[in-house]
Amino acid sequence: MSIPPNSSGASRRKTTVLVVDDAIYSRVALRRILETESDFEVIAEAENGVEAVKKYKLYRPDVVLMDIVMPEQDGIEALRDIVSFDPSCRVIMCSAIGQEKMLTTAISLGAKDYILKPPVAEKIISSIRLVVSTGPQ
Amino acid sequence: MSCGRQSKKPVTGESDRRTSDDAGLVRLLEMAMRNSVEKISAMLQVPILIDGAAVTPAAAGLIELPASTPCTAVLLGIRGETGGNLLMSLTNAGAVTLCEMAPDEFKQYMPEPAERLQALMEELGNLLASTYLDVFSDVAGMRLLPTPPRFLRLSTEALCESLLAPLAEGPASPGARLFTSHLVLRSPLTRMLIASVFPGDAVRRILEGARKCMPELF
Repeated sequence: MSIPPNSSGASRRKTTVLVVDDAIYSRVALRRILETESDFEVIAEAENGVEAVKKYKLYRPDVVLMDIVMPEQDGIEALRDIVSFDPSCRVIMCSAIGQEKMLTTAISLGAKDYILKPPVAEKIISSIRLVVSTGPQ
Repeated sequence: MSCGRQSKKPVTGESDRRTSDDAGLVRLLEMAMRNSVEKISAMLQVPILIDGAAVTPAAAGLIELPASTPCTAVLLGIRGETGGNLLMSLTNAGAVTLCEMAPDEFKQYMPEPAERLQALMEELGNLLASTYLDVFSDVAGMRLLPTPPRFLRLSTEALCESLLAPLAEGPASPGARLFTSHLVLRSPLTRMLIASVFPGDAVRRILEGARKCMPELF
């Protein structure tokens, strides 16, 4: 996997995360949660699905935290595109939508987990650790 | 959610049916508001009360504040298997108070109050609309999702027009209903109007679903 320029390589490699959400409030909240863990690094942010797919291809993050309701392309479509590009991707949906149909759609398309907003630090961190330790890539 | 229970009492005439329908919709609105309040309260870390719930014909419009009152709001469309709109609005003074409720870390990241207010309102609107529509979706058995939020600073009259726009654009929708409620955020006291409008066909499907799934509402 290509390592971005700001990774040292000398120390233990960090888990890189792409944060995708159209709301800056959510992106700040998620970034703050992830910054509390020394082994996590927010490698990039995206504001919609189109940008998410582009940045996934560019940075190849270990994990994507993906919102669903976004302009241009929603999180479900972006998930579909990312899975099609990289079937071993690890995408965790992070949305305020709690409808069971949405959850099953996301999981059936290849999402590794589904977290409800507002994000709770412990849930986000444990979910990322779990998908990194068990999922392929 | 408990499906298959018996209704409280049989409904006979058309007038009884309408009264029973609207009473059931009010209880459904209260459920949706409770679902939203739980999440919004967790986000803002403040206690929030629900003040009233009403369901009226959409043609009645919003009679809240004087028409020219300047307000800060977010408007979200309802998409999926129906149309409609959802509005979250407060006076400009209330918006300033709300802006101060943002967590300190967010204030540091976004020091400019107007920018911070918009970001906070959009996030609150998204959270409110998603959790609110979850309840209607579950009961009606149809997929209802919010569109991304649109931040607005308009008079009460202009906001009402924007809220009801989906009904004005499409064919006549006689059964359309306006759902209104208020959230009261304590210390400092801030009052927020929550209003949604569903076209007649959506109201009929919601009623059918609710009568089947939750007859105790009627």
